Amino acid sequence: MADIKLSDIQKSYGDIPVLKGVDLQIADGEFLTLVGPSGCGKSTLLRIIAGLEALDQGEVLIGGRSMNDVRASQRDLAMVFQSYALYPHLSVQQNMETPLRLRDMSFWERFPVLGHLFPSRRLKTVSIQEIVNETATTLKIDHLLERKPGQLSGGQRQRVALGRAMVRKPVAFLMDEPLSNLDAALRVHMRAELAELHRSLKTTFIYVTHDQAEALTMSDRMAVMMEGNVLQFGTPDDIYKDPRDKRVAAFVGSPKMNFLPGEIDVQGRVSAYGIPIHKSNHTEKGPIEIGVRPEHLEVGPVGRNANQWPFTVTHKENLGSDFFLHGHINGSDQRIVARATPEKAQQISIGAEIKVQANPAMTMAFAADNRRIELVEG
Amino acid sequence: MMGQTAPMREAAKHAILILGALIVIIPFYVMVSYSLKSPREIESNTGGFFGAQAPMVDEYCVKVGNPKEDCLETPVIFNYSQAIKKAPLFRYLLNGVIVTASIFLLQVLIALPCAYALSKLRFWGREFVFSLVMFCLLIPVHAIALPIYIMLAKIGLTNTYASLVIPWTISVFGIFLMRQFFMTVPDDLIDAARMDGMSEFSIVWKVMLPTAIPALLAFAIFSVVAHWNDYFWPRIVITGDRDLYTPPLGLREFQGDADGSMWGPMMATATIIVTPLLVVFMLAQRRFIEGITLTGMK
Ligand SMILES: Nc1ncnc2c1ncn2[C@@H]1O[C@H](COP(=O)(O)OP(=O)(O)O)[C@@H](O)[C@H]1O
Ligand SMILES: [Mg+2]
Repeated sequence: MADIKLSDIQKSYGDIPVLKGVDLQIADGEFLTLVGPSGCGKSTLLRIIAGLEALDQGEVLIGGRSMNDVRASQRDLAMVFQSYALYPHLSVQQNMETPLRLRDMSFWERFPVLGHLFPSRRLKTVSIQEIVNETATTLKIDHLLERKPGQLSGGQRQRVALGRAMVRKPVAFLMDEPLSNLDAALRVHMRAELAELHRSLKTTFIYVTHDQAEALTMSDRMAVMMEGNVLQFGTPDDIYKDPRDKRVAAFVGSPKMNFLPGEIDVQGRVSAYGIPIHKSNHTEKGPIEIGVRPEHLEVGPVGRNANQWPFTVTHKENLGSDFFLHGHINGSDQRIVARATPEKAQQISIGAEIKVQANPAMTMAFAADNRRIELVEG
Repeated sequence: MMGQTAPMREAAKHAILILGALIVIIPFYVMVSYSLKSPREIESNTGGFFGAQAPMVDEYCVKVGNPKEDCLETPVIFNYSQAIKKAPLFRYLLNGVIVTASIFLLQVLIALPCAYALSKLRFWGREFVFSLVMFCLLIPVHAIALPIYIMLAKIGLTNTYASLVIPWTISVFGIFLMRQFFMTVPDDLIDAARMDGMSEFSIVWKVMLPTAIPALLAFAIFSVVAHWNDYFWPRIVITGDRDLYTPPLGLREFQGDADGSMWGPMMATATIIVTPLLVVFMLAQRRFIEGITLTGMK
């Protein structure tokens, strides 16, 4: 059992708070993603879990044991860095052997020349080499073992970095944006491969990324971080469909969710751009923001319904399977994006005046302080 | 217009560089040339670079009572054999190797952990300590030579290898150079080593040292050249025992005694002293330049 529990983690650099009390409970074997914009403290949190950074307050528990006074190397965690951080002067094989040699051999057994006097060294060397070869085969880098990191491509280095982390069979893998230095095609490929690796290893992964698509596609659960806080923690599905905070809603999903100026009138009816959206709320009043994802903005004209927004198309984005129509509602200068099927989009030219309508079931409302406001039918 | 001025400017640049190179090379030229010539050729400035190599008379040999015919020698052979015979030059060279190697090894032993701490560890007062290092760079050795000499004398270390080595073991220049290089080593590499279970000392010797080889070579050349060629310090602390002479002290053997300066053997000695340095530099030239430009790792 190696569940990881973070309670009230706080950290400042100087007088700038970077983490403001983070609580997370990570189950054994889970693929957890920490996602958020650059500078929100993801790496800092990961480094605190790893033991590379001291925390100001709070506690890191691994398998129920407090890790606050345990050194990084004693926490039985492995880390994959964005820059891969391979030892440039060692071969791939030696890179992968290093963590095992440091863990399994004594100081004297590792000692150059003198170490050969110990019979135990030979046995250990053999078993270490076996593990390295096995891991290299799994990662399909067994033909690269003799090379130096400088002679490898980005993707190959990435695999070696993974291999160096895997050989130790740690209780959890910590990965800090491991794919961000790869080209786009390889990145998408490696997403699938990492997810598969996770499934076969059945070990906890804590994965840091600023790319919401990576978080959505790979994780069992994701924690959306902003400005040193975890705003929401849940499954990708939950977070996409039911964001509890406007910043989460805006961050997750591509293209971004549209936010329309709206209000709740005295009867509790909700409208946006002056047109009712058939939803209501009886506890709040006043101006709010209505969130609609591009795929939930139906491109019309749709039937004879009068409750539709006039929409001026300014740009069409062709993704092959879908089109994204960019434009303005009611002549306001806010850019709104709506999704259309290729068939529909073909009939719409740039500059056309069309109508769009929000799917009421999928429409969300947010208060001025970013809080989600519950809406009911009617 | 441009097409015409550019070659002129190139030519001017080259002319200045060639002039500079000549100024540096001429003393070497003279040194090597004198080491090949007979005293008469040196005094009358004849014989070109190599000298005529006409047999010459060894005055000293005649003085001790040998017939003139037995004392004829080719100048080049005379100069170099005198250089080796008159002073135990190989002993001096060995001393030079022992002293410069010990100095360099101890400097590395101290500079690397210091540079690592100053570049990669966060501790209170780090910037202040580094500014002290910078400050020490400004202190000329001659200013502190006397106090150091007195200290060594008080603990009875003059006329020992230790007195030649100890004052130089802390090289602020080495700390500074290595610190600048270590700044370019990514922090992730050090964190990776920590995750793998290396101690901070292992990181210095097993991660930082191997990545810093080019910078270390550059430092090695500065250090070895400075201490191999140093005349000032050995002259002060080695007063009696000729067995401890370093190569530059060996040059004194040929300096004017009663029979005048022996320029030929003296220059032959000088040539022998600088040759090892030149050879090492030629071998390490490429990596030396890499180290100076600090294009370490990315
Ligand atoms: N060693 C440090 N000293 C001072 N500030 C730091 C240090 N490391 C990170 N920070 C600051 O902490 C904040 C969070 O950094 P980080 O955790 O790296 O963000 P992320 O990985 O989410 O992009 C940033 O504003 C960054 O400038
Ligand atoms: Mg980061």
